[in-house]
Amino acid sequence: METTPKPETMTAEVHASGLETRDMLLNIGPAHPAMHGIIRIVAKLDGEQIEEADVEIGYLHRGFEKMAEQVDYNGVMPYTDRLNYVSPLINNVGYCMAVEKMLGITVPERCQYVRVIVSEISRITDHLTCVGATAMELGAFTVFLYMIKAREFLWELVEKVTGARLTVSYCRVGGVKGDLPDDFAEPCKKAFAETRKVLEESDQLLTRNRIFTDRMAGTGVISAEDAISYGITGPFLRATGADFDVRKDSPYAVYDRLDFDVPVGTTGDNMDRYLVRMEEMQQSMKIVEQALRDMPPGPVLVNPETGREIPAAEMVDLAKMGDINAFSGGCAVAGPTLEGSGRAHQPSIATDEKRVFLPAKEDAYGNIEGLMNQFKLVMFGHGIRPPNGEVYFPVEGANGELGFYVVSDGAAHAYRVRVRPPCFAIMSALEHMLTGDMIADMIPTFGSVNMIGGELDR
Amino acid sequence: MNFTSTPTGPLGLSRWLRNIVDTVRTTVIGMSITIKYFFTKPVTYEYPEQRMPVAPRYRGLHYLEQDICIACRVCEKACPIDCIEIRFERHPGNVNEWFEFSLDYNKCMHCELCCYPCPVDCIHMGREYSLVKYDRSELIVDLMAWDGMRDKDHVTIQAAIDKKKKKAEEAAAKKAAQAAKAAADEPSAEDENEGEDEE
Ligand code: SF4
Ligand code: SF4
Repeated sequence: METTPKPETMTAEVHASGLETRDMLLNIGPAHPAMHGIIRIVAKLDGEQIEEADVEIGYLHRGFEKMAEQVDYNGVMPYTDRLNYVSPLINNVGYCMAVEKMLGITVPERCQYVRVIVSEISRITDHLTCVGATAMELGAFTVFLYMIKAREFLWELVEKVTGARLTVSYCRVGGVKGDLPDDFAEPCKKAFAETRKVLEESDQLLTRNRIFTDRMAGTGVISAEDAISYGITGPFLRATGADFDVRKDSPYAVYDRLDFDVPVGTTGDNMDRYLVRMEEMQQSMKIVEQALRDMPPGPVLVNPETGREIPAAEMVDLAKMGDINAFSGGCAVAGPTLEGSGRAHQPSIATDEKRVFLPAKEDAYGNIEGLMNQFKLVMFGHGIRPPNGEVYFPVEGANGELGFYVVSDGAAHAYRVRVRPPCFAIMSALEHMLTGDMIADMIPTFGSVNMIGGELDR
Repeated sequence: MNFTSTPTGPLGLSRWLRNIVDTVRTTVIGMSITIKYFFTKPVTYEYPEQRMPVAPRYRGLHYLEQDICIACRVCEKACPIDCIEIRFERHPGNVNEWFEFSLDYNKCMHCELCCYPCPVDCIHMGREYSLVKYDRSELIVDLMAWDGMRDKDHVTIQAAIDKKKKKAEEAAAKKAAQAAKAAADEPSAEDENEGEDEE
């Protein structure tokens, strides 16, 4: 044995019985089915117990922050979709609100409600994915399928609003792309009924399931003090008993007007995180229902006499002939993807700041001010130009506080963008939580972190 | 928190019984929920045969109304990753001779940032979504319905050229008439030049 060089980290000791025992290094990941996202954990095992865990991140680094310095402020929107790709709408909202804070503008009330609604729908999809995946890794594959089914229904809602399921790019600086569809409350109600059913079933399947509770309760424990010192936020922190929620503690958009509870756990173990997430989904649905009820009504649909619907192409032709009167008061019918963004909708979904938001089609065709406004925003060397300065704006992401720090030097693109990804802090505490647990406990603990590679490695 | 967790302590009779009860109850609850799904319609689609209906706002592959496109390149600028490539030549009479309007679907992320800024609303996103190809180069899709110029365009160009020529001829004739008039008034050519300089 003396001739074999031993790795430094391995310690061999002679057991009382005379048998030699030694620690074992186990590589888990980067491409391991339980490591959703790409991540590597090097665990030093003493038998089945984890003595040390070295968490290696960075496999999904795509340079989001650098890319955000290269494109204009609205062009960053597709990139933010890919941060936390399970709840892309919250990232959209967070980035837009950061830039809006820098510009010093507020968006109309209806737009704020729309943002809250889409954020909360995203939060549910995120929690469904997290809980479903954790359950699947513990053997409850059925729950995963049910939850993904519910998520599909919610993504159909998202698709109705934004036109895409995942890569939504819905928000724009100063507003959103288009208003909610006219009859949005109806499909929303249906999807929520399905989701509630799924949640109830999953609750029955999991919460009192002996195998599930045995594996979740008492594993991956972190105390509230430790969680705070690591900078953990979101459901993970709330499971430890610390009551902190950005939506309550520094309300943005219209969260201060909505009535909802923040579930708080007691023990800070995996089971509490699961219960907190389950309850948060119920609360999110409650928020969406309230917001749909309270939001100011959208535009009154056009007056049939003065407000004819004219195809955009026809309007362009009329404008080229100089026959502005022929379509004044009419509304342009652009492609179906641009539904909900016309002149009738704009006052309720976008700020009236001309330096930020593109004019409605009718204005761009119908008057020279609109046309110049359009070109001032789309031409090279123009565009949205916030004043010099820096802002930090946090929103409550599905995993915790999602912050955007944006620095502007007055140019049409950001000087620096920094993201505070919620799961980065949690990942730094992962070693602390894993140490001392069994290797099998790593699966639920890592699952409840809900690591999203996109936002962790950016 | 009110949930079942492993009872600790020595394995007495009560714990033994409770284990049995838990096992049976967990299994019965689980099975009774899952068995219901035996009798419901599946929510899934058999993809290539059945297609899921997409929302009206769905952002699929682009299409271009080339007739009204004014080749202003705004869409090209608005695209954050430069996947639109436009090449054209402008001719008299505001006619564009098209060489290329291509979209690189290797890069395109269907964000729709190119559609809204278009000043004449001619680039749209359709509802088609499957773009399966054998080769990456096939993903660079030409959105043009025609390239080069159409007969109509030649007519427009000819008309514009004729108009310009006619205008130039008219101007020349006018000038000649003026010159003739000036010559009639002032016989000396040098004087005329001086007069012009003064003007
Ligand atoms: S923005 Fe519209 S008009 Fe301009 S080049 Fe693009 S498609 Fe053509
Ligand atoms: S959809 Fe987005 S990525 Fe695709 S061409 Fe348009 S702007 Fe570019």
